[in-house]
Amino acid sequence: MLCNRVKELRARHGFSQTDIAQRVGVTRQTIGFIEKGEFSPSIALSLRIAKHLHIPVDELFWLEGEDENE
Amino acid sequence: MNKSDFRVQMPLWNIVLCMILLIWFYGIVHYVDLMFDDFEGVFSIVENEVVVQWPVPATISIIIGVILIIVFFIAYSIKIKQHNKLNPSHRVNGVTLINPGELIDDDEMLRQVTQNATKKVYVFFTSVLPLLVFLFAFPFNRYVFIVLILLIMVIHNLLLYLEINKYLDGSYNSHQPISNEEKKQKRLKMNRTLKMIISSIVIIAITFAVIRLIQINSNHKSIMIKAEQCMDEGKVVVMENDGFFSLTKFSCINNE
Repeated sequence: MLCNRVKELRARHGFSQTDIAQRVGVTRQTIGFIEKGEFSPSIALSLRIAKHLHIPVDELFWLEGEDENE
Repeated sequence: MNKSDFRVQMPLWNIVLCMILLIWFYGIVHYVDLMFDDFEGVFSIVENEVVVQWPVPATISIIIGVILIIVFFIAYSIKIKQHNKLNPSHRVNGVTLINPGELIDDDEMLRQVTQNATKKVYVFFTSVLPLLVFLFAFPFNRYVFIVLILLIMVIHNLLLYLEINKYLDGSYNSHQPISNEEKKQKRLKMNRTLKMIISSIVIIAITFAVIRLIQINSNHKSIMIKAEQCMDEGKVVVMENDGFFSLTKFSCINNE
């Protein structure tokens, strides 16, 4: 499973799910599924989300069981 | 995107159309049969006057069917116009064979949801079509096959609708089984389903065969009784067979 910090960083930047969804060109529901770890986004979408949250992509997403800060 | 999006609702519209066609085709099949039988039993002459006896249920089904189809297509075109006006970037074409409106691919997750939904439809068709081909071997009324095909279309649209609905509800689970144990479990489940389908087909086949044998036997007995009575009255027994699947028809005519 792919773990992520999308929800945390989105809240820190004051974005709603709809805001970030519009910025990266997906639906609000897709952002919700990514946050819950139910959907693994493509590399292109991960890069777009990371760019809008001002964070490197490997700090935003990591594989379950691996240390987030490895 | 939400549940009121016309593209999400499209499978439901397709289901409604199937239901209307179910009503309409009852009358159509009945009237086509009458046409090929030269409207036998519809027109009769009573006291030098032509009396018309229209089949009431079939006539009502055609009238109601036509009215419903007209109402349906008016509502359908209004909805399409409203949708296209509100969503110019996701326009829907009312009549298309290339890209049906219900196949939504707005983003990569929706594409995956649509792919999974179409996969389910594919699996459904793979299981149900051989069964339908098998049923075609039996001499049922044509309307039975129309009902079955329309029901298959209803289930196909329902599968699409339910899958997209899960996504909109936030309850969609896109995880694929990855471990060997999960793959094994899935394979076992599929084998069980396959066995169930095959045994259902065999049971249906045996049931039809037994019913047909009983029908042939009782038809034979009743013909024998009628034939004896007919010959006792000095008339001629005529037996006809319309085809391999039809039962022998009996008639008793005057010996002139």
